[in-house]
Amino acid sequence: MYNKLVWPLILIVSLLLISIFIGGFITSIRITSSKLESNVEQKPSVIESNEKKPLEIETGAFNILVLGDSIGFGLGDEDNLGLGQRYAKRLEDAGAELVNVYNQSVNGAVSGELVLEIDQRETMALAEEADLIILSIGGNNINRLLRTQNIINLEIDYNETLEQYLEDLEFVLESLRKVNQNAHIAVIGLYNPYGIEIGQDKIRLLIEWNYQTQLLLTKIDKTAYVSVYDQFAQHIDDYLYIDEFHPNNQGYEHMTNELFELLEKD
Amino acid sequence: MRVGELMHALIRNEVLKILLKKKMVLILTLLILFISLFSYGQKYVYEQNLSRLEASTSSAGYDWKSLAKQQIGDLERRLNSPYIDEEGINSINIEIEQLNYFIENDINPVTPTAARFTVEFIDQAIIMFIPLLIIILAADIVSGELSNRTIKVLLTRAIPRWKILFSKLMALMIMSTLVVLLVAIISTLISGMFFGRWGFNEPVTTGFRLVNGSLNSSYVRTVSRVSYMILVYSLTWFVSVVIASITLMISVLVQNTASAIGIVMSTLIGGQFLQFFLSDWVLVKYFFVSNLSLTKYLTGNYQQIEGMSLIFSVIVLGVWAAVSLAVGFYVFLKKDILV
Repeated sequence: MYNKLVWPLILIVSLLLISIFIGGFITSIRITSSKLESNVEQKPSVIESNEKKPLEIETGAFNILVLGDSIGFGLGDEDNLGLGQRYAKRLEDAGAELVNVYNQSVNGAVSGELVLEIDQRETMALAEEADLIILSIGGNNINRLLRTQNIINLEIDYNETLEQYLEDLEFVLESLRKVNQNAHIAVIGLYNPYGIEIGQDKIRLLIEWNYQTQLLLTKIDKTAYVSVYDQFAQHIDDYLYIDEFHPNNQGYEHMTNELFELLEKD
Repeated sequence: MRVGELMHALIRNEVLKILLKKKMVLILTLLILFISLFSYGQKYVYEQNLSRLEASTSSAGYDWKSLAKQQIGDLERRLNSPYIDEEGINSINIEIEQLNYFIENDINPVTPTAARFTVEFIDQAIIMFIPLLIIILAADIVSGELSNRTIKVLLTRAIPRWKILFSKLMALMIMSTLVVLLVAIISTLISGMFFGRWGFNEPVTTGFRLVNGSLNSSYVRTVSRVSYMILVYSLTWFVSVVIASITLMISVLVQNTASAIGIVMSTLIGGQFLQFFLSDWVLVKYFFVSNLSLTKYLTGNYQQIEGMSLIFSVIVLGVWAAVSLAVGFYVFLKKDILV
């Protein structure tokens, strides 16, 4: 029985498996080793290829620079104005002569990408001449966590994400401060587009996020934290765009109000 | 030709000896016991999480799908950013692909599946549980015969000593391979029964590379769970072969099985401690125990230690196995065996 049946079976199965395993073993080594194709350097980096036409900056006017993610960009604003333009209108209504808005926001940007953007000459040139810098960043960093259902690792993930974000934000703020000592830098806080449905645990993380942002801003001169959390929580249905995520024109108008009251009202 | 037949007969005989000792029954029992426990545990944790989630959200049905779709929208917007680098584009595309898979197949990403369990089980088991099974198999292969004196029956035949040890080694390789197969089959079947989902087609990311000392995801790609399982189990097989070789040497060196098991086990456990307490010491990374968890290199999810990569670990393990075999054969050939 053993010699005729069991042994041949064992031999064939194990030889077959050994060849499969050796194949898998070699594949594993191949896909994790970096020795082969080193075409990372070959491809021109996106950043260099993206030299836009140089902007002409009017030094005499009041210049507003908007940096950051889709909220800075103005996604969801039915009037197509965004924070910068809305703020400019306010200033003009109040009697300002010439206000220019430079919107360098990128939809979907996370803090790491803003760091790369800051490193560019064009951004720096704009920052140098700006009288007000509006910054909206971080929403895309934390969003993934607010949506996840995997709450086992949530706390650890969150701490890592927050730490990275704060590091990036500090770098951005310090870089801006270095080239421009006079401009106000306003950082827009986060609101909760999901409502109470995401649960208290996650809301706590969001509030903690805003708190940490606010705390960081105390380290840098002439920065302002624009808190929008409470107002959005009260008027969530009125302030959100149809995607139920970005602000609509009312939402942006409210943000602009907060900003204006913070900086201009005596 | 006669030489080949003799070898074949010797190996066949050694495999029969292992089978007669009913070790496979013990290994099978251990596997079924532990895997059932772990599967149950994972199912329990998953259900706990689900009910916690439902308690914390006001609406009963948590709509993960629309959230996943929003997430895809977010990622697609990020792709359009001019400030995103090559590495970022690649990992975002993969994230989108994975989310799409979950949406299309109507699988909540956090649901445990059999295929995922099988791989996660190995991630944990490869440093201790799998080596333990191999030790059960291998520890008495020579020392057992030394202590009960059956070795003299083998040695009094006109067969060169190295052939005897070689046939034992081959028998060990065959049985280790079968043990790895058993682990794969049992963990997939049992966890599949617990979870009710197989998930063989789920895309998994792999292919992280160390470039200039940091993890680079430019080469990351997705493979199906099944192919990923094959990769993971191939690495497990390699670890098993290395442990089998080391155990064979110990089995030659000591007189009784209990000491052989004790030595290999304490080396394994001691090695784990070494990693904790002496992680700064450079020599630790040349110790075989520090290099056992090969599967972590596939996931890209590990703490990087300067200079450690899959190739490095494979070479270290290979050298340990080769040296063990050399020592084992040398001692076995020179040993005075009192009849």
